Amino acid sequence: MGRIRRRRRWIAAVQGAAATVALAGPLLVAITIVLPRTAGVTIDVRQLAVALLLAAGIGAGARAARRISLHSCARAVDRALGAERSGDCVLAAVALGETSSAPTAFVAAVTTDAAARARQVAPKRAVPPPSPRSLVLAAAAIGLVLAVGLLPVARSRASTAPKSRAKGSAPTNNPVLPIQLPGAALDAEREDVRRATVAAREAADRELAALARRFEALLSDLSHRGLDAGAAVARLSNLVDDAQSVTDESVAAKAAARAGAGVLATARGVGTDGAAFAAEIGKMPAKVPGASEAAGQAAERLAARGETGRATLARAAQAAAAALAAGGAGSGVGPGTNNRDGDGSVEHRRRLDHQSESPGSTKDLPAGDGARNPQRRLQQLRRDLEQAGANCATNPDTCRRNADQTGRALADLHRQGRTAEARQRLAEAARQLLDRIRRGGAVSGEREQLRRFAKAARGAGRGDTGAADPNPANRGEQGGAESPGGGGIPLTETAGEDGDGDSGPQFASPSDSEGGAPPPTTAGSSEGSGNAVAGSGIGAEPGGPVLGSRSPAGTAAGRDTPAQVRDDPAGSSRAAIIGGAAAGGFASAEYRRVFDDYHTAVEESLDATVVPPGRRYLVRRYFQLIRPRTP
Amino acid sequence: MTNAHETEPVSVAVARFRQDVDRLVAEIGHRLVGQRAALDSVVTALLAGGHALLEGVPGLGKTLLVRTLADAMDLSFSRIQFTPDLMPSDVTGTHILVDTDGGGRRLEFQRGPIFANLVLADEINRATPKTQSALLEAMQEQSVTVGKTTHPLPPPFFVLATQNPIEMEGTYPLPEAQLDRFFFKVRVPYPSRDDLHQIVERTTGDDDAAVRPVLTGERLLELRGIVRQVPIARPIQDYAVRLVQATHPGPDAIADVMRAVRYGSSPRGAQALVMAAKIAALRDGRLTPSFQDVRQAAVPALAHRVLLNFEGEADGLRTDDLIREIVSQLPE
Repeated sequence: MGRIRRRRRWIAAVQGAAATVALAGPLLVAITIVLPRTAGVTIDVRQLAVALLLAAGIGAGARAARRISLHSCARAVDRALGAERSGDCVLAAVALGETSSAPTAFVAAVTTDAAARARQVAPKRAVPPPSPRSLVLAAAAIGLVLAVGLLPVARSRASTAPKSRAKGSAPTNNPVLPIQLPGAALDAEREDVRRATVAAREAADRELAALARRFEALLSDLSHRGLDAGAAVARLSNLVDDAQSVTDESVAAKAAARAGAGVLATARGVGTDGAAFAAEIGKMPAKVPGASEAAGQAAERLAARGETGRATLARAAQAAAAALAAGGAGSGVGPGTNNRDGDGSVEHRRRLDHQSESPGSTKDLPAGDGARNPQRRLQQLRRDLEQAGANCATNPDTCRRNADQTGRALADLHRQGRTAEARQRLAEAARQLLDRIRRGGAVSGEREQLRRFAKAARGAGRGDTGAADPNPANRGEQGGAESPGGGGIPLTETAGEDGDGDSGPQFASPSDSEGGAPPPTTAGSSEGSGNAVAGSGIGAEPGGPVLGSRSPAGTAAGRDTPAQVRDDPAGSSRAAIIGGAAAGGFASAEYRRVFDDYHTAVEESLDATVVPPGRRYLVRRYFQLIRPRTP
Repeated sequence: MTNAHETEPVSVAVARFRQDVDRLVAEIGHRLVGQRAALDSVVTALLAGGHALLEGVPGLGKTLLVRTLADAMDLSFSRIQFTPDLMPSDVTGTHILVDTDGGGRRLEFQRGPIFANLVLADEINRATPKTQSALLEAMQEQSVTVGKTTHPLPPPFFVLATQNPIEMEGTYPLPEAQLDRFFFKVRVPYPSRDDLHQIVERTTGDDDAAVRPVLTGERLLELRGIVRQVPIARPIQDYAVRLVQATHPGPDAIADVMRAVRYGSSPRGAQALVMAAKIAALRDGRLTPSFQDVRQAAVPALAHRVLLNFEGEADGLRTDDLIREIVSQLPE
């Protein structure tokens, strides 16, 4: 009976340990998750293991210390013997032994008989191993604790160790706090990575390609596996630093990229189609790369028809140089440049001349020099182009040759500029993501805001006056002010449909329209009355600041930026297209064109203005949400 | 009373007990077809020194069982057919005037049929309560007091009463006090088809199964002594006591008991349970009773000791079922 009692005590200890671990495991997991968020205290895996062991020991001790009666042991033996054979004789013998002071012959016989029967029963048979349920629960709890405790630490070590060696110290918030973002929350960053990859492939820029790969891997880790905050911040910091290191050098090259495409086409068109080309190049807004390329393509088409003229060639070269000067000097800031005859660029040229210190041919510049000082190289290219224009009047062959060389140099600069732009965009995206992660808990709230934002963008939000206006374009953008702090960006659009001039849809700055007030028309030739009555929008909804409203920080860092978007004279009005998309989905070809225009304008605005990173992200995210879909 | 261990080892005594009882049952089985459970209950009551009440419809072999039992034992047997006009003196006996040798006359007690070892009180519920109560003292005290004289009954004294549960008209249901004096109330069930075939074959042919005595009165008393020596462990005795307590309406009682029972079993119920459990253990060759032995004896020992209230009666609740429910819910 003693052996059975010892075995029961041992099993009770195991069961107690298992039960305690099964109970304490989830509790520890909860503490591990909650404590860093509430008290800022992190728990590492060793502390978890010690706590588990302690809990197991306490549970085992508590259960093993319980009194195990002989009666229960006797019942166990009786059960093992079977009701038919045993007849509870062992229990009876034990009980009789306790109560009989002077055992009778029968009691003695009962005791002897019970002892003989009990000897036939092995302790293992009398007290079989307990059901593994508690052990399974305990194992699951241990696994859970290890998963919570070990994996983030392992990831943190794997990701931070090389960075620590490279950068010395990396900022970390919570080394064991895992961060996992939904895939949709990183779409904007992925788009930047995709563009950078494309640009790197076209320009054969290995460094940019490597940066893009690193960023892609980081995004994948964040969305699929999750990273602890420390590792994510360290990796993003490194990425921002690496992308930033060469971005500053390429600002001028980026400017050249804007004008480069057009100028390249200019160079190629010189000597073949001056008149038409001059007309196209005159329309070219230097800040809009797409427009430049379109102008270049038009010039090439005209050149294919063999139209030539020395005088116009000269003017074309002058115009191209002016466009180049405007792009390089302005760096994308300022109004659109309409240089129909080159006279409009006098001031720019004067400034460039003043800044230029080392004249010389582009051909004399080493390749690396252009990368280091693209501004200087740009000036040289401009002079070469002007020279080519002068030659065109006297020697068309020389003109054509010079223009060719200039064009190749510009093409090189153009590629360099594109990679620089992609690199800068990559750095900006990484910086924004870093900011999001550093803000920690704002991620989920931000996601919720974006969800509402997307809902509003699809026209599913709540609005008051917007519903009363039959014109979808006149409806104020509806934000989901369903909870305190909720809101959206009050994007308003006025369509001058009632006027007799060009309709001038304006993409206004968020800060300009609060509560649906019509934004001021800042550019374009809109003469329409613009009698849109916008809905109350988000700004009119109670609860929290308006997302688009200007915050104190935003007031200091940002400013209103009018953006030009063109309307298609033929076909549906822009407002009708947007209204149709909001009602029926974002899959129409018309909407795709409208969106491209707006998107380009937004990118320009973001590049040209100092938009706080958080707002910048929201703007991009908004346009990502309303992007055209595949039909 | 002779202790078994004084004369022979316990194991031998138990083996002989088992052997004798099995032989008695087997002998009765020569004449009685089936009804093994009823027979076992009757034998248990006999060995416990109690009395048994057999309840069943006519023709099931109740009387035959008792008569065969008497034949199988070397005991005096008397049968009393209870009728409404049966007087108590017809049971116990009476004083009659007799002539003495000197020419005088004197009153002499003429023993009634109850002065036997084995008494069959057939259809006991047909007699008046007054006559039924004549049995009270005999059954409990095993003596009869007539006038100022108490006449002990010859041991072993064993009353087997029968009653018909169907023909209730003109009957006098046994009072609770008298019911409580029966060790067991045994329900005699209708025989199975095989048993019926066997009954027909035995009773319609010329093969009269002879039953010979296999157990003397003295041996029966020895067996009763052995039964009383059997120890019972406190947990098992406690189970029997809790079982009896569970028949009483109270805070720990099950819902049916609370709803349908007016009075639960008397302490005689616990005594019957323990004695029956001991006998069951001995008959099984064990030296001490088990929980199962107590459970087996619960229905015959307690069912007739539980008094239903109006609601229970109105619902047609059977005390047998109630006891089974209690047994199923009472932990060991």
